[in-house]
Amino acid sequence: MTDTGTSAAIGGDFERIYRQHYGFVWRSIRRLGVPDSEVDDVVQEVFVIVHRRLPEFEGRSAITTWLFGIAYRVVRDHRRSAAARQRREADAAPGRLPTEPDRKLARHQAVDVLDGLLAELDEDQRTVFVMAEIVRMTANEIAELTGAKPNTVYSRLRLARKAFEDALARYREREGGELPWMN
Amino acid sequence: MDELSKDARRLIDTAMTDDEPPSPDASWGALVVRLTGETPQAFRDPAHAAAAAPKPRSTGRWIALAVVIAIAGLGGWALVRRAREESASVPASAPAPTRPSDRASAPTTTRAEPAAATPEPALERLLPEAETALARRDFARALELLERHAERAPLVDADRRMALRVLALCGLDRRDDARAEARAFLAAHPGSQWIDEVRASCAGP
Repeated sequence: MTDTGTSAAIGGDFERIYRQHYGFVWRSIRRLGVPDSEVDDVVQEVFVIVHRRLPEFEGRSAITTWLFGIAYRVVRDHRRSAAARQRREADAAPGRLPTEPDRKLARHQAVDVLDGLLAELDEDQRTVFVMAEIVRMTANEIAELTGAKPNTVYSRLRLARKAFEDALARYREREGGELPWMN
Repeated sequence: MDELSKDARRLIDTAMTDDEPPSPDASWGALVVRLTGETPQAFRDPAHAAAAAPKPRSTGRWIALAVVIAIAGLGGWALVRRAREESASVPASAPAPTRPSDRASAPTTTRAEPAAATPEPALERLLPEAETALARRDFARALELLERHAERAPLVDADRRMALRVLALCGLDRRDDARAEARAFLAAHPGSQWIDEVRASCAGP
C-alpha cells in the first residue's frame, strides 16, 4: 500500500457507516467509562479514524467489532491524556448510583445503574465485560484486540461477571430489592 | 461464572435499548468540517463541491482577492494598497469572483497577503488536529503539528506521534524518511497499538 488510506470520500460508505453505527459507537464509548461531557469529542475522534482506515476494512470481522476496536483504542489514548484525566476527575456524574428509584424514571435508571455497576469494576474487568456482554465479542476477538491470551480473557471475564453480579446484589440490597427496570 | 444472571442480562438489555444517543445529524456537520474544511452543504452540492474541490482552503484567499479587485475598480493604487493591508480581515460576506477572467486579469500586485499564522492548538489538541490534517491530506500541516507536539511533550504519546509521522511522510512521498521513522517506531514501541497502521503504510513491508 503506497497511500496512507486518507482518501475515503465523505458520503457513500463512510456516511452510511456513520449514520448506521453512530449509536453503537456512542453507547460503547459511554460503557467504557468516558464522562458524558467528553463523549461527543471521543465519538468524533473515532469517526475521524474510521474515515482514514475505511479503505483497510476487509470485512473479516463484523463492522461493529472493527468499530469497537477503534473506539477502544481511542478511549485508551483519551485516558492517557493528563488534561482529560483532570476533567474526568472534576466530572463526578458517571458512576453514581441512583438512590431513590422512581418507576417513572426506570428507563433512565437502567442506564444509570448499569454505568454505576460498571464503574465498580477495575479497568481490565470493565473492558472485557463490555466487550463480551455488551458488544458480544468472542473471546478470540477480545484477545486479538487487547493483546491478552484467550485463557487470560476467559479468566478476566469470569472475574468481571462475578464482580458485576456482586455489585448488582449490593445495589439491590441498598434499594430493598427494587429493580425498577424489571417492571 | 460462565453466564450472567437473568436480572443482570435484563438490566443490560434494557439499558442498551433505552440509552438513546443524540441524532447523528447533530454532529455530522462538525465531523465533515473537521475532515474536509468545508461545510456539509457545500460538500454535498455538486456545484459547490466542484468549485471547492481543488483547494478547500483557498476560499478565503479568493474572497479577499475579489474585494481587492472591486476596490481597484473604484479607486486608485492607494486604495489597493490599503486593501492589501486589510485583506486579512475581509468579512466572509464579501462577493466571490464570478468569472475565471476576473481571476486572470487581477494584477499580481493586488494578490492578497497570506493570512496570519494559525494559532498553535493546546497540547492535547495537537495529535487530534494532526489526525484531522492527515484526513484532509494536508500532510505538511500534520507534520508541523507533530513536530510541535514532539517539542512540547516528547515523552507523551510518543508511539502515536511516530505512527502519525510515518503516515504524514508517506503522504508527502518521503518514503525513505517514512521507512526510517517506521524502523525507529518499531524498535522503540514493539507493542504499540499503532503497529497495524504503520505496517499498512508506504513504510510497511
